[in-house]
Amino acid sequence: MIKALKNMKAAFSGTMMKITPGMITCEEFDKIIVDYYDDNLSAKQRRTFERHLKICPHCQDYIKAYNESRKLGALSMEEIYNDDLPEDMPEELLQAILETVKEKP
Amino acid sequence: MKSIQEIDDKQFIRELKQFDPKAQTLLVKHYGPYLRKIAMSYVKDEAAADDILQDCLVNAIQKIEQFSGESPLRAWLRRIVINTALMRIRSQKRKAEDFIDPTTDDFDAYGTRLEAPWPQFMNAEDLLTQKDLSKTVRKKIEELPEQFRIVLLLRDIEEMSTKEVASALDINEGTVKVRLHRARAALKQKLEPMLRGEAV
Ligand SMILES: [Zn+2]
Repeated sequence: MIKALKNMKAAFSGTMMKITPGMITCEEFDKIIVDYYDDNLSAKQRRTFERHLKICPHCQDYIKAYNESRKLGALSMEEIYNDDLPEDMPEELLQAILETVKEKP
Repeated sequence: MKSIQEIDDKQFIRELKQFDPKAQTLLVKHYGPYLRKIAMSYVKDEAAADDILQDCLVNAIQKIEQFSGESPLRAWLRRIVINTALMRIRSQKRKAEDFIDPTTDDFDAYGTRLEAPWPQFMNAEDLLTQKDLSKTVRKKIEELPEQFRIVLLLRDIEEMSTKEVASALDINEGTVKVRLHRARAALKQKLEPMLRGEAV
C-alpha cells in the first residue's frame, strides 16, 4: 500500500473511533489493558474494551503478542526451578554464609 | 547430588531447626544457586546478588523456627530472597538510567496503533522446547530498566497484586499500573523476533 493511502486509511479509522459513541481509539484502549486483565473495569468499560478489540486488527495482533510474551516471560523465569543441573555454589560464598551463621547464633 | 525436592522433607527441616551444620550446608548448597538466580533478576549485579543471597540464607537459617511447613521450603526461601532484594533496592539511591522509559507502543496522530503485521505467531510452549531459550528470555527481562523490571517481576512472576507491589515499593498504585504496562510492552518488543519465529 502506498504511504498516502495508508495514512488516509489510518486517519479514517482513527476519526471513526473518535466520533462513534462507545468507541475508543487504540491509544485509549492501550491505557486500560492492565485494568482489563486485572478485572478492574466497570461493565461498561469492559464492553468498550472488548468492542474495540473485536473490530481492530492492530490491537488484536498487539494483544495476542502482549499476552504470549507475558507467558513466555513467566515460563522462562519458572525454568529457574526446573533446571536439572544447577551450577554449584561458589565455595567462598558457601563458607562466608556458614561462618556468619556460626558467629551470630 | 539429590534433587531439590528430595532434601525438602520433615527430617531435613527437623535437622535445620536443631541448627545441624550438615543440614545448613546442604540447604545453602542446594538452594543457593536458585536463590542467586532470583536475586540476579532483581539487581543484575553479581556482587549485589551475592550480598543478598548471603543475607537471605543467614536470615533463613537463623529464623528457621518461623518456617511453618505449610508452603514448600523453596517458596519460603524465595519470599525471603525477594524481600531482601527489595530492601536493598529501596535503600539505594536511584541511578539516572533507571528512569529511562522503555515505552515502545506507537500510535499515529489519530490514536491508531502502528503495529507491524504478524503473518505468524509462535507460542510460548513451543518456543521453550528450544535449547537455552528460557535463558535468553531471562536475559531480555534483565535488560529492562530497574523500575520497570521489578514491577514486572513482582506482578507477573510473583503474581502479587497492584496493591501489594505499591506497598512493597512505596509507590502509588497508578504508578505500578503504568510501569507494569510499559514493562510488558517493552518485553513484548524484545521478544518479538522469537514470537514472530524469526530468530532467537
Ligand atoms: Zn486498536
